[in-house]
Amino acid sequence: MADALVHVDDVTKKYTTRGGSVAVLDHIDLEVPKGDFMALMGPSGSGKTTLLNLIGGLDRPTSGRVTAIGQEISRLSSRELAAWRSQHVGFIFQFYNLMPVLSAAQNVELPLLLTRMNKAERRRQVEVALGVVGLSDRLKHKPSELSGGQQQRVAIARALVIDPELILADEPTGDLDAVSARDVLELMTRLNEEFGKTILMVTHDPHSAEVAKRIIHLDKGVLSQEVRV
Amino acid sequence: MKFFGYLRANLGRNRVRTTLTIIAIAIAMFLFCFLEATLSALQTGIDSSSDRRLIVRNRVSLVQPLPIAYRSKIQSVPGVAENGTAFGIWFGATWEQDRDYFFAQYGVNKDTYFQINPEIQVPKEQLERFYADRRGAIIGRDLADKLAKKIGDPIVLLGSIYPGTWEFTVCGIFEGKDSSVPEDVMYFDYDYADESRDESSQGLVGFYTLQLADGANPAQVAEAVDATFENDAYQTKTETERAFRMGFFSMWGNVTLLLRFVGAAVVFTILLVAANTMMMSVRERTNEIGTLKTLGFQNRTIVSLMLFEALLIALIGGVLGVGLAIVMLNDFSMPGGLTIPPVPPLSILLALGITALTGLVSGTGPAIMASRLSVVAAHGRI
Ligand SMILES: Nc1ncnc2c1ncn2[C@@H]1O[C@H](COP(=O)(O)OP(=O)(O)OP(=O)(O)O)[C@@H](O)[C@H]1O
Ligand SMILES: [Mg+2]
Repeated sequence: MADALVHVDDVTKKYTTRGGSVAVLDHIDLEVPKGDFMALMGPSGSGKTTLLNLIGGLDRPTSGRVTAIGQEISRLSSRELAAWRSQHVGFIFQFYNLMPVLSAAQNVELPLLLTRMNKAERRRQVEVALGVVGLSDRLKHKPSELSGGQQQRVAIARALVIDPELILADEPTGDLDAVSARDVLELMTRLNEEFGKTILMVTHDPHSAEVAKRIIHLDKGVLSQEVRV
Repeated sequence: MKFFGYLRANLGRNRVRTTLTIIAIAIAMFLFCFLEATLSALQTGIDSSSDRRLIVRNRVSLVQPLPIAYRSKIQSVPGVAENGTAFGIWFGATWEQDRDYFFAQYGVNKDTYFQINPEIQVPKEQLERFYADRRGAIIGRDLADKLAKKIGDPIVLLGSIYPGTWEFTVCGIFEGKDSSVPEDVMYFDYDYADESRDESSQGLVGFYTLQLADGANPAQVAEAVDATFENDAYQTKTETERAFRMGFFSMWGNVTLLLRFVGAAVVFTILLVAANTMMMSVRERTNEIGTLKTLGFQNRTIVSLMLFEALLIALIGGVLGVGLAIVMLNDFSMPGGLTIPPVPPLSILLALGITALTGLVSGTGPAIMASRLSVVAAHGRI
């Protein structure tokens, strides 16, 4: 598929431990079209995070190819991968992973420190991103002074601020109450529909998965089914 | 410098720990400067001493006296310059107005003392005045400033070795030939002190200084002097002024080496503490470093940030410690007499160098640890 943003092509990922070598992902093929919002479900330990890491260029496959945003990232060095991530991918985690010592604005600014933007430009971008997630009035708050839902929205702003083509979210609502979770999912939908971001979201929760355009299941290292909602 | 906000926030992460580390480094560097200044004071005393002058003292110990009658015999030893002997006593009195303020006083012979010790520079007319006044005193510029005395002023001392109340008149103010000559010293007429004692203890001096004739061999002359008094009641020990001073400072063993060893041990300990603190703070941040890497921060950026943070902590501490030493040792006398001079500029540079090195070394381990951390592994540890 020519307009796919992500191609996962016959990818195997093995972890070698003392007990021997285990294939967490076993000859996986997956395509994520541009502009898609895909939910990835599966039991714990099925390899969802592993797959997300491969697509986001955080890790390299044992065999096979991963191409994302026109780049065969499975062939890049870790240095090139870091540069590539900083320009093209936004990450959202279950536990937000904000820097506790930095304010919301400083947290969102972090990825921009790797760009050539000057201070004023960075400041403007940060304000825009925090505005999108509805936290314009919390710029100076530390993570500890924000609710879980607000912290996750700061994390979403941080993912958004570099204007990435691809957003990868690993159980973004896994640690949130129902109301906050709904806010975050609404935000994800907006990012997809309004800003045209391609989103791949891991979730355990079938309700959360329903906001996605597609749901795929990963089980025992194999992508077993694909459901169109 | 766009990372400054991040760095500053990190310093505030654990304020108590950061503050303690900074204080530890500050104390280490303060001690280092203090030691260096003390050592330089000792060294200056040795540097200013001459190889062309010999000191003759009682063989038994420095506090035992020698008879004044030895002077003519010493003068007649071959190799001693013409009019080349002087002598003095250690007076050891305290200042009436402030008994805790210590300075050295020597009762010296008037006729040759200042000729044989030309590094003590006294204007000619002041010297004349001193010669004419039995109670005259010549004091160094530093001492004059500290006691707030000018020529003509009285100085009253309370004796200990020489009991009683002693009145002097300032007749001259000397300046050292260079900074190595101590200027917080007072000289006065030996006779004034000696005549006040009862007859049995009169006629004793603490030490002789003798000037070598041109071309005379110091070792040979020293040997000849000691041989002269071999069979007398008071035997002598003669050595060059330099050897005498070095021996004086090694009375407690090799002080210099000991002090340096203690200094090195202190600095090394602080370094370990600082390194350990940095390690702890990186271990706590495993997850955050993983996040930075996920966001695309390169290893070298993370390593630089770690090193810079360690360097910053060390330098804040170092500058505080060195600064304190500079301010405090500006005009500082130890109880007991030794005046600690200002910290030598070279020592300041050395202290800051050691501080920077401490920072870099203590930051290196954590930086390597942080750079080795794989993104995926770091995230497993939430
Ligand atoms: N660094 C590693 N070394 C060895 N084994 C690993 C490593 N990372 C993951 N695994 C194993 O790979 C398997 C898949 O892990 P992964 O984290 O991808 O699962 P997951 O589907 O995200 O699970 P969960 O829903 O619990 O997050 C697990 O069995 C895990 O033990
Ligand atoms: Mg997972």
